[in-house]
Amino acid sequence: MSAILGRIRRCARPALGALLGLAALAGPAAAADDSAETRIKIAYLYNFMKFVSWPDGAQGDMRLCVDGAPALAAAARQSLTGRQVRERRVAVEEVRGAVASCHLVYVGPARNSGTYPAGVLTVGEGRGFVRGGGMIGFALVDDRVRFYVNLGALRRAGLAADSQLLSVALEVMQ
Amino acid sequence: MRLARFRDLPIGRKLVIIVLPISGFGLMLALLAVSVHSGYNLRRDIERQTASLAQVVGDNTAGALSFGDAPGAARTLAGLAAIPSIRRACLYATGADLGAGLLAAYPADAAESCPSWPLQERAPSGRNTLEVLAPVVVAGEPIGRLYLERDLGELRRQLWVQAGAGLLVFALALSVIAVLLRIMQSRLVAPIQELAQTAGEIRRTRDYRLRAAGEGQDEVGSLVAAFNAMLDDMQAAQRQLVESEKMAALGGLVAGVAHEVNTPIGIGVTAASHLQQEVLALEDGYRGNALGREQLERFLGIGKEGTQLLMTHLERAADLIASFKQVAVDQGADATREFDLAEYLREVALSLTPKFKKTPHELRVEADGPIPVDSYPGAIAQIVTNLVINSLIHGFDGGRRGTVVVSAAQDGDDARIEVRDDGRGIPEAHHKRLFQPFFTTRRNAGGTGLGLHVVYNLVTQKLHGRIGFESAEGRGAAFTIIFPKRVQAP
Repeated sequence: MSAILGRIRRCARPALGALLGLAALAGPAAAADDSAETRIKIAYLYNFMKFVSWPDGAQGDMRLCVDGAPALAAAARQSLTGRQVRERRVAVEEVRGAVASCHLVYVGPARNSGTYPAGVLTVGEGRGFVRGGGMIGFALVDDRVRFYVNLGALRRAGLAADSQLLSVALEVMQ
Repeated sequence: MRLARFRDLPIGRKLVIIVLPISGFGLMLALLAVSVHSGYNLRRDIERQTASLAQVVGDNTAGALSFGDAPGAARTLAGLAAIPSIRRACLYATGADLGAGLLAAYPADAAESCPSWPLQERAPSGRNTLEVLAPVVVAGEPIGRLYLERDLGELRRQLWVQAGAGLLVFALALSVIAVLLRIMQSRLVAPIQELAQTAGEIRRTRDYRLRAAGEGQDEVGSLVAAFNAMLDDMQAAQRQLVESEKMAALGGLVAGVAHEVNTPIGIGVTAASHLQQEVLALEDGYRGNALGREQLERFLGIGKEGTQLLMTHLERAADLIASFKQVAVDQGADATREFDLAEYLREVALSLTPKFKKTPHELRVEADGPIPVDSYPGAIAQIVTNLVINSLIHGFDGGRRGTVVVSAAQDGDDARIEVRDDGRGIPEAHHKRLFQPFFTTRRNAGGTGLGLHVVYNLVTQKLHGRIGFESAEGRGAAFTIIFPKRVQAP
């Protein structure tokens, strides 16, 4: 049907097994993860920053933090460094725990919980992450990377999500 | 050829031929300008509308583009079904992260027919389709392009409707103009037609007292005024001509009188001088006492004969002068008088005898009197004189003997005079123009072409009668004048 869709599916299928295997074997790897799923997730993270508005005005870098996923952090640093969102440069950082200076925190599956200060968009893995207070949770549906959105958490954190983001979400929770 | 035919058309038709195409051309031009303008506007409106539609729909696919949500994008594009003239829509992702390519199409099965060029650049719009490419931008970053293809059949349909309406207006306006023209044309042409009618009437009746009606300061008004002024001039000229003709006739009369009276007077003088000689001879005989009976008787015989001769010729001279005087007086004077037409015609004929003296021709009067009339003797004398002289001049040529008969009769309240000759007649070709002034076959021989014209005028205007003629080539001519015995005072 659509070229991009097919491409995502084609790439996602073999990559999925690899990812799950990696996750099971575990062990944070410093090497960049260039699997299709990771690439797609990094692109999504970047796109989330475009569809969410922060209350901090419009100054400084857009800080994308990664907590507990060093391979993804390395890949994100590779692909997103130097790119911009609303004319703000994107900066990728690896963090541990609550960091108020981040705009977005990706929480790796290993640290699938935790609290973060207001004003930080939290993105994690699975529906559980969102139910547990996270704002956006990735999920694989039919070999496609999709996501849940907890709109209530977003609002409580003082963030605003574009309706376009919500229209693409697998489910929007209040 | 064409121009000549145009020239022969009625003025009203000319007006139509001139005005209709000009106004039609103007209308057409105006309609064309309006059509082109509104067509341009329509197309521009549709372009703008399509561009903004592409922008709105494109913005609505931002999420789907960002997260590779092909079904979501297809759902959004499906909303285009509300606008039937949108034939095709293709949504392309251009971002590097998720890969570039076609994400969704409308209608759903149109993916294969989506062009590949929108990924590179913009292509120009066709004549029957409008193609629009709108970038989808999120947070300052272009992430895709929406291609819309719109059918312009709707625009064409609207243009046709507009053209139809324009043609309707055109036809309506032209018919209104035609009707207005028809009304105006009658107002314009009516006075001209009236003038032509008056001119025709004058030509037919020869009544130069008629005048054309018509006012106004425009060209037609001045034409009517000029026409009437011309009639005034003609009337004056006609009066003058009649007058001068009268004087000419009078002059001829005087010459005739002199010639005619000369003969009896001459005979009288001869007789008188013979008598004088005889008287002197008688006196000689008496004084010489030689007067015999025989001589006296001879003298008495000669004396009786001489005085008789003298008396006869002097009386004849007196008669002539008396009748000439009558004619001359009547011709000069312009008054009605009671007289015997038969007797009067004889007097007129007598005054004409000198003209016949030197010719082999004969003039006869056939009138059983008395025919009492109360009319213009002068006019009658001139009419008869002119007709008789005409017969003499035109009817007879060569050595053939001819006869002119002047006859008169009465018929109730009318009197009739006929002047008939047995000459060569009047050619058919001249019949129509016979009474027209200055129509003459003898211009070189001193003819003025006024004789019959004066006759016509005298008969119709002075005697209030009518004149006609009968003639065939070689069989003589006969002019008949019928007029009331009692003429009304003018």
